Amino acid sequence: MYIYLPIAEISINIFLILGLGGMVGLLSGIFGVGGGFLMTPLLIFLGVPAPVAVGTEANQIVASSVSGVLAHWRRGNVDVKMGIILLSGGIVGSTIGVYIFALLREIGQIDLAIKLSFIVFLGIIGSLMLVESTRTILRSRRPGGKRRKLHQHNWLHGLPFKMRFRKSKLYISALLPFGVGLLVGILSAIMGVGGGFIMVPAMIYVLGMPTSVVVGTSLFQIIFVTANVTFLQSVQTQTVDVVLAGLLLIGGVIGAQFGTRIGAMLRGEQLRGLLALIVLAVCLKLVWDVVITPEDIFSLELLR
Amino acid sequence: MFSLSSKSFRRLAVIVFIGLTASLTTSVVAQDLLVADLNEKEVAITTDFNGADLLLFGTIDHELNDDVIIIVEGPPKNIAIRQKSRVSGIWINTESATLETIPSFYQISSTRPLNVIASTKTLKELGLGLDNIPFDLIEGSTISGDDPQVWKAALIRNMENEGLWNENSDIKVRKKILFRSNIHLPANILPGEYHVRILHFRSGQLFNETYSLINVQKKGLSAQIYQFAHNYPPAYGMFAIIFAVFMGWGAARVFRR
Repeated sequence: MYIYLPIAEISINIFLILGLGGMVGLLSGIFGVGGGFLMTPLLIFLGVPAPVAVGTEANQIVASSVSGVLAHWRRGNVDVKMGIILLSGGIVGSTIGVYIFALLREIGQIDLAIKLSFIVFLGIIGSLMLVESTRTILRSRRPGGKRRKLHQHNWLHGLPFKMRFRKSKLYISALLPFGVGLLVGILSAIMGVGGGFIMVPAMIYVLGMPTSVVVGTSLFQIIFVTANVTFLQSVQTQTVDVVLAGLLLIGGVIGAQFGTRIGAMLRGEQLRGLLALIVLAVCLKLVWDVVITPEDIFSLELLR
Repeated sequence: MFSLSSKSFRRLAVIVFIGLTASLTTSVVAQDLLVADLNEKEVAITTDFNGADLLLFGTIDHELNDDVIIIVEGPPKNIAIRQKSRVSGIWINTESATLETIPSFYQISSTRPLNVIASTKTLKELGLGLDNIPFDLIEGSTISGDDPQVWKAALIRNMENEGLWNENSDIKVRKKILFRSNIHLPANILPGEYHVRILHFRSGQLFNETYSLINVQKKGLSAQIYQFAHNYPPAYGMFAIIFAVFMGWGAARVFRR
């Protein structure tokens, strides 16, 4: 059964879209990431124009994050104060990002820019997480191994505007989460992702937040950042397809519900190890895409 | 609005047809009959649209060495064509050119291959065939280095792969008077007017011709969403966000144990 997407202006199999949404939603629920880092490239592979994939994905992540955050909210796993500082940085960052996106699109390098950003960030984060989680798993198997400190102290903790974040058990400079939010916001807009796959490790390793509140807080701030991207892309490029977003999120929210439950059963380091492997797999696929000789070195774009 | 212009176009076509008939009957009595019609002239892009197949049929006085050529041309668009090359190991768009008013859809069907029907010169003059679609760069756009022919071939190859351009010799003529041809409009066509030209060739020369028009329009919900997004972008953006929040919240409620 085929459905014509009004903004993407293509016809696509409805079950393919629902299945894609469900699969990515499952991962999103397990790991607390928006899933955009998988969904955006997959939509482009299916023939959805890259700008529409990015704009629509932002819209879909709003919904999947709302759905996902409620489960964490009920369990008290959202640090609202931290979330608000992160998202205020995120709003500024994503606004800048949408403008950079428009600029890159104009000079015809947006596809490559998207792919290279994915390769760099997925590569770095995937490797770091894999190394860390493997170490933790190995250490926990050895009895009598020394316990890790709650978090490491370094120069970042000397920054001004210190704030107390009770839920995260942290006393750190507000500039730190604001800066993290800003950088992730820029990438979120350019890459059509919620940024969870960068945000989650940044919260653990840079901010030193406890793993229990990381996923809920990340989802909480992603709602607002992707809502901002949805609005700006609608106004600037008219690339938000609500029909496509609706189908993806019907599949996505169902998947996410199961994902959240599976995630609660797994241990933190196992969760991170598994996510690291998925991140690295997507990264390698993208490296392959830009390195191998393309089937046709010419490509076309219909201009409106 | 459109139906008016369609009617007037058809009327014009009829006048042209009658004019041609009148001018030719004097010399070739009843040898110039060319009538063609489509089984459908309106194609609606609705929510379940997945391409459309139309049937064009008509009659001619078919003699030996007579041929029919049917051209369907979609709304013209500017097209950016980009060439990748390897820069320190990765493939990057390094060259680009922008072409002016290229048909977004072009199907040419004929009774025999085009180069058998008429000379290269005739085909070129009448602009028939994929090779003879005008290849014009917009002002300020240039092709450096490569031969423009390589770029033109790339354009044709890519449009063919998208299913938007097609050249075939599938027209069948029955009992020397009836001809029919299938027009396949793929799912990725653009809305707009599709001009249909039906040419009657005799001994390699254009002998008679007639026109028709297919109107491809977005209809129903998908058309309304498109209009909303393009006419009221901020309102659409707000709607998209509220819609997403509501859907996400609703889903979480449904699945709450």
